[in-house]
Amino acid sequence: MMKRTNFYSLDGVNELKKRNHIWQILLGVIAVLSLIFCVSRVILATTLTVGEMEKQAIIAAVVSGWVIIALYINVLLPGRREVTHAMNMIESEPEVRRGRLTLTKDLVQIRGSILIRKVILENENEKVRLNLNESRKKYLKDLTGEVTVYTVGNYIVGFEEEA
Amino acid sequence: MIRRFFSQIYLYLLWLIVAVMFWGWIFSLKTDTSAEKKVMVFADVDAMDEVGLSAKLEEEMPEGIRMVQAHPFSYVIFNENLLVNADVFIVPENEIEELLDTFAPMEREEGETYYEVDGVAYGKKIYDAATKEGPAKTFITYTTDKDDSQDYYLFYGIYSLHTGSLDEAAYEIANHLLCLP
Repeated sequence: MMKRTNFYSLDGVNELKKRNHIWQILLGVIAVLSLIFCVSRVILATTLTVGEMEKQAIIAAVVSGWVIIALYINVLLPGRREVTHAMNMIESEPEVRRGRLTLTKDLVQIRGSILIRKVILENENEKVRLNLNESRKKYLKDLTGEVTVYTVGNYIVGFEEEA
Repeated sequence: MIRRFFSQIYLYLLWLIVAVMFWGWIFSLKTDTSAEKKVMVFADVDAMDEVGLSAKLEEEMPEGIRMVQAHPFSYVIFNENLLVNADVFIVPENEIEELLDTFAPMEREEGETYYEVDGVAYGKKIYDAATKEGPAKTFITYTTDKDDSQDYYLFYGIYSLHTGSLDEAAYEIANHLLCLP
């Protein structure tokens, strides 16, 4: 009996979109709260307290900015790129190949897109390097033997193995 | 992860610079205003609680004045124009001659001691070196040098807007300062 694993689905994409939206809201909330805090320091500052208020405003602005930058670059942006990539994979008809898959150590950040790992597909006729979404690496880690591989372009979008 | 952090570090540094400069500028708008709306007091003294004295003098602000700024002379180290345009000065006797061109003549009051040049009174004595008595000692340390103690005089800036040309706020602030313990 064959067991098929698809890396991308509409449900998965919708889940990703929902998660991205939540992160977006969170970043917005952090930005707004930080702005309100900083503006309140300006409004509440008096001659006696202005030095301390300025320090508080600057610290709040710097720290919240760093948090927003870190979350945006490392969570939200990759999440959006993942959605775009997934939609591209879902919208295309996959090719079917068969062979033995070997993970390599080659990691490549596709500009404006996802992080991929190079994977070698080998059979009697060919030996090709395919791209695997790094977040899907766990599915292929313990694979042995020949499997049926589904690809769109050179991206692996799923595989089928003996259950 | 560490490598990723170092590849992004320029963004964090850039934000640090932008945030510090932006909020520093915003607060400078709050802590400063045009010459017409502020009275500046400069004191050439050994130590001074600028913030405390400014806040105290602001408790009785003349009409039309938004803020009082009290600073030691060291405040103007990079911008001497600030000193020239100040409204009220507190200066030790041995420094007066150097700054005399900056001071306006003042009207005499009975019972007061003045710094005079050619019969014209320029500054009023406010701190006596012998008795160590003077106003606003809660905020001003006139001198810490026991051997080289000077009398201190109060002057009004010749370029001040608040000694008659716009209003007389400089006189009011100076009188308030002279009443401080």
